Amino acid sequence: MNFSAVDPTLKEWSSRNRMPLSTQYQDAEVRSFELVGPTGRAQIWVEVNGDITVHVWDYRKRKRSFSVDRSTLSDALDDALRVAKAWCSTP
Amino acid sequence: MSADPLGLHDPGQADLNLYAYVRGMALRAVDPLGLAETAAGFGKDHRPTEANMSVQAGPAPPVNASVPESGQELQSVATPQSLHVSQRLAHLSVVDSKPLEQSGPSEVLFAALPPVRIGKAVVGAVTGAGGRIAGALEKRAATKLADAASTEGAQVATLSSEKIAAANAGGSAPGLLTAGSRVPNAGGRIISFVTPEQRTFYRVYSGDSSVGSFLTSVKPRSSAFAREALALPPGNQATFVQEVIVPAGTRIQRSRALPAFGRRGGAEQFELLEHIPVGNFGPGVPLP
Repeated sequence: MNFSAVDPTLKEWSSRNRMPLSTQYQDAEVRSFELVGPTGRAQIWVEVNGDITVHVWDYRKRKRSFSVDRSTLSDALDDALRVAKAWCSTP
Repeated sequence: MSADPLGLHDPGQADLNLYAYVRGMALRAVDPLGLAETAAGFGKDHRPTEANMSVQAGPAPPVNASVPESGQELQSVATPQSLHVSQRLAHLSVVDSKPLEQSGPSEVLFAALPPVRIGKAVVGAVTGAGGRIAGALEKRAATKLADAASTEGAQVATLSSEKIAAANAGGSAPGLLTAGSRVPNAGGRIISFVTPEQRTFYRVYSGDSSVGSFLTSVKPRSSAFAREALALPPGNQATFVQEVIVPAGTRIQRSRALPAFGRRGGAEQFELLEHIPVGNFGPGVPLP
C-alpha cells in the first residue's frame, strides 16, 4: 500500500491526539494506532486501496469501518477514536 | 496441568480442546517448547535445545494502564516490568520491575499504546500464560512466572526502551526485518533458537512480495485460513504460498500470531531473525 497521500494527515492527527503511529507489521507497511482503556483495548488502522478506509476493532468481535476521502480522513479518525474509547471504557 | 493460554489451536476449526497442545494428555505430558508435547518431567525432547534458546511470554493487553483524563499528558504504557526466561538455566529473571502506576477510577481513561521500536530483538511481555509456561520450567520458577504473569493486574510488560536500544545496538543488520514502529505480532511463548538442520518452511504472500521473514511450519490450507490464523497485514491476501528452505544455523523465532487488523491470529509462526539467501525462497503456488 502507498500511504504517501495520507501520511501528512495521519502524522498531524497522531500528534494532535498524542497517539503514536505504528508503521510496520510483519513484513508490511501499515498505519495503525492502538488505544488502551480501563476495560479493553482497540486498534485503529488505515487502508489505502484506491479508496481510503479507516477501521477500528476491539480485538474481539466489534469492528467498524469508515470509507473516507483525504479531506475527511481526520474526521473519520476522530470518529474511530470516539468509538474505540467507548469500547475501551465499557465491558 | 494447564490449558493452552493461547486458546484454540486452529482458529476457524472445530478444535475446542484447550489441552490439544499435549494431545489431551495434560496429566502425562507437557509442551515445554510449544513445539511438541513430551513426557512430563522433561523426559525426551527432540526439539532444538541450543544453548542460547530463550523463552519469553508474549504481550498481553495492558488493560489497566492509565493516564490523566485530560488527555494532555498521555503517557506511554510500556515498561512496568519484563520477564525473560532462560530455559537452559531454568532461571527466571524479572527486570524493570517498577510497579505500574495506577490511578483512581476517576483518573483512569485511556492510553495510547506506544509502538514497539525494535530491530532484531524480541520484545517479550506478559500474557496470562503463566499456567502453560509453568509446564516448561522448574516448579519454583514457574510459580514465580505464573504469579508475575497473572492476568489479574492485566499489566503490560515490555522491555524498557533502554534494553530495546541495547538489544538493537547489539544486533546484526536486520536485513529482511525492518526496524521501526512495529505493531506487535508475536504472542504466546516466544522461543528463539538456531535451526540445527536445514528445514523447509512455508510463506504466504500476495503481489510480488516473494521474499519475507514470516513463515509457517505447515502449509496453510487456504488463503482465508492463512489471513485469519496468521493475522496477516491488510496488504497480504495470501494469494500464493511458497516453500522456504531455511539453512542449518539460522536464527529464528517461534511464536503465535497475535490478533491484529481485525484478524484473530493464534497460529504458530516463525520469524527469520537473519538473512537467508533469496534463492531459498521457492516459486509461489496459488493458494485456494
